[in-house]
Order: sequence, then C-alpha cells, then structure tokens
Amino acid sequence: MLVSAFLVSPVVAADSGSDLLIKMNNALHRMNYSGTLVHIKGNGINTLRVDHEVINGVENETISSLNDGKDSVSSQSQGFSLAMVPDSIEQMRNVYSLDVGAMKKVAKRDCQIVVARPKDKMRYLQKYCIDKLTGLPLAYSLIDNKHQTVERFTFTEVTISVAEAGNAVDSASTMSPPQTWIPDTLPSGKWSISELPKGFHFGQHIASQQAETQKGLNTEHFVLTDGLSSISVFISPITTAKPKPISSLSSGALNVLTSQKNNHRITLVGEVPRATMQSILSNLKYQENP
Amino acid sequence: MSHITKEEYLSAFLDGESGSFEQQRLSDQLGTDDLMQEKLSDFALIGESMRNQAQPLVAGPSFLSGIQDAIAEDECVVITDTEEPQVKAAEVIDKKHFFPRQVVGYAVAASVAAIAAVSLQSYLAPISSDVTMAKATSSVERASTAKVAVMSASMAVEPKRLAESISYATPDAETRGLMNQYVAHHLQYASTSTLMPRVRAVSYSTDF
Repeated sequence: MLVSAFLVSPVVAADSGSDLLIKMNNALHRMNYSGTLVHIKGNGINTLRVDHEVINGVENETISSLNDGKDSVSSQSQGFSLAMVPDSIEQMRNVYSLDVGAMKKVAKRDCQIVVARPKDKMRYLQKYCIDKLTGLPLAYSLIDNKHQTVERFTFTEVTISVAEAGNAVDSASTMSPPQTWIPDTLPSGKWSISELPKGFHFGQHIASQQAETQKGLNTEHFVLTDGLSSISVFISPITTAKPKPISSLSSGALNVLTSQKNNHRITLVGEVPRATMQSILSNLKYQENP
Repeated sequence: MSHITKEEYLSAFLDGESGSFEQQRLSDQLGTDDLMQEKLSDFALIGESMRNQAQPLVAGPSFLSGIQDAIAEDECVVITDTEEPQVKAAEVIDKKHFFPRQVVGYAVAASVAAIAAVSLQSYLAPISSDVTMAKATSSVERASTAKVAVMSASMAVEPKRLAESISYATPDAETRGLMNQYVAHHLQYASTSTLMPRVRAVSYSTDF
C-alpha cells in the first residue's frame, strides 16, 4: 500500500529535477498505461500505439506504428531495476543542469516541465513534461545546439493506472539488478579510448545468448553513457578486403556511424550528436602489443 | 494566407515534405488558428485511416489537443556560448525572442506579408547578434582548417568543427543492414533513453 501511495504521489513543487527524473523512470516501468504517442523527428511524424502493463512483476509492452502496416512489436522484460535509473545524479550534474520549469497540459493532464541542459555541445538538451499525478513522462523532446528540436515524443491521449497489488513489481526485487546486466564493460584486448568526452563513462548493458547472436558472436560491444544518453560501440573483424568509406545514418536524435580501423569495422550507435560519436571514434586506439 | 494554402501547408507537413521554416511557422499558427487545427486533425485521421484500412483506428479530439500541447510550449530552451569555449551556459528565453537563423533568409525573401514584416522587426536584434557571432566563428574556422584536417586529440576539444570537416558517405545495402542490426541491439540492450527505447525502435524501423 505504501508503494502504491508513493507511485501516485503528486509531483510537488519541492521536488528537484533529479527527484522528478527518478520518479519518472519509476513510473515508466511500474505503471500500467496505454495511449497514442506522436513521434516527430525532422520532417517526419509517426503515430504509435503504446500499451504497457505489469503482470506478475513482468513488464509487457506492445508498440505499434499507426503509420504503416507493419506488425506490432511486443516484448516482455524483467521487473524494473534501479539499475535503469540514471546511474549517478552527481556525475550527471557535471554535464547537465537539471531545472524544473512551468506546469503544462499534455493529453489533458497536468505535467511539470523538467529540463536537462547540457553544459557543452557533446549531448542534446532534454526536456520532459512529467505527469503531476503519476510521474509518467507525457512529452519528451531533444534539442540540439542549433536550437532545433531533433526529436519529440508526446502523448495525445493516455490512460494511466497503478498495477494491481498482485501484479506490481516487487519492490524488494527491484533493489538488485537482474543478473543479465553487465556492469561497466570496458573494451577488451587491444582496443582502448584515449580520451572520453566529458561526463561519459563506461556503462552497463544487458547480455544474453540472444543478444550475443543478434550482434554477432565475434563482435565486441561496450557502452558509454553520461547518465541520460548512451552510445554503443561495436567492434568486429572485417571479413572483406575492400575498404569502405566512413558512413552514417540519422533518425531523429539517433545517430549511427561506421568506419574501419586496423582491419576492424567500428560502428557507433547512440542518441548523441554525430560530432560526439566522431570524437569517440577518433580516440579509439588499437595497440598491437598492449 | 488562403485556406487552400493552409491545406497544402499541412499536407506537406504530414507528408514530411515541409522544411524547418515551414514547420516553425506551422507550429506558431496552430496555436491560434482554429481552422488549421481542425484541418490538421482531419488530415491526420484521413492519412492514418488510409494506411490502416484493415485496422480500425481510434483517435478522438485528444489526438489534436495532444499535438497542440506539444507545439504550443511557452518557452524554448537554448544553449548559448560563453566566454569559456569548453563550457556552454544554457538559458531559457521566451519563444518570441527565439527564431532559427535560417529564418532570416526566408523571411526577407518572403517579406510580402505584413505579419512577416512585424515579426522580422521583433526578431531583428537577436538575429543580428547571431549573424555577428557566425561571422566571427567563420573566420576562426578558416584559420584552423589545416589543424582540423588532422585527426588528433584536439578533436575532443572541438568535435563539432571536426565533424563538419568530415564527409560521410551514404551506407551501401550491406553496411545499412549491419547498422540496422546494431541499432536494434543498442535500443534493446543498451539504450538509456528515458522514454521507452522500443518506441524509438519501431519508429526507426519505418525509416530504414
């Protein structure tokens, strides 16, 4: 009951930006919600149906695009782990300033604006509108250093409820991260990064047999994060002799960069500016005899 | 602006064919123009219905109000340069004082409407300072072109400038396939993105 009371406790003025972010992450994984979400990126607009329900402590999520005829993406995941909360508020404060803004209305619900402003150009500004009653993010946008909104999510209608007591995530189990989380993986062997962008550190990611198969068994994967944004670095040996030029893709805030170094293909994926990824790529060093 | 123009405007926006200037102007007009709000709602529903004929779509008036809530934000947050090059201060400014730099060119070229002239006057001061800053930055960039061409640790210091000096190729089919595979992996297992990485994954899959 105490947990339920906490989950629906209204956002109060005294809440700091970091408190609200933690509350928001909590709500994303613990609450039941369904609604229509609009995703605007660049010139594109995509409307999605989102259904999230916690059943017996397991999150069930179904997302389908209303813009095309593709099948829905459904998934199940373990109960919410505190490992998924921004891992170090203090570290985050080195590169972001968290501020609480005005109250807004999104999807006919009152929400509180929270802004994570970057202190440099290595990451996007992130702006949230957090539901006053439940803490669920109702709107979320990323803005680049040219003041352009590169990506925006907003619910146009949403229904939110607290998971029933029998189904809710057990608070005790959330205190220990799932075993599949690999903490702070560093590049192995002959690869190292001579200088990380300010505020970034090696982070954790999920490992499983399925994940290994998906990325390729001989592909090394490690994650860099500043607490709010993350970058995956994939390194795999090149099997073709023909060199390929450095190439990239962008989809909203998500950037992908791929290049070749020392007979390896390096691919970076993350929700950060491409310049940040280029910086990491440049500082990724290969040593024949480490 | 005639109603026909508004419809074309909205159609282009929903088809992803409008530019940043048009999007910005549309955002501004949607906040006050009831007719345009209705048209947007109609177009969105028609478009989605056509794309989902096999699947009935439920989208009420809240669809429109949600978009309006998102668009009609009363403030824009802008990062500005400070004296120290490595540390950028952020500030919140009123939306009325914020306009993309490229809008200057469009606005001057299209200064046929009285409202555009009024808007230009109100935005003139911040734009001028931006232009001055751009000129200063440009001269610095020219002076450092040679350094930028060489990959070194200085890239971490001035990553933006370096990235702009690198030309990126469009990936071929094989590379794109690999990229998509890694994107799926990242979004499923490693993204710290706050708002449901799977939402981004579904949306990404409609792009590539």
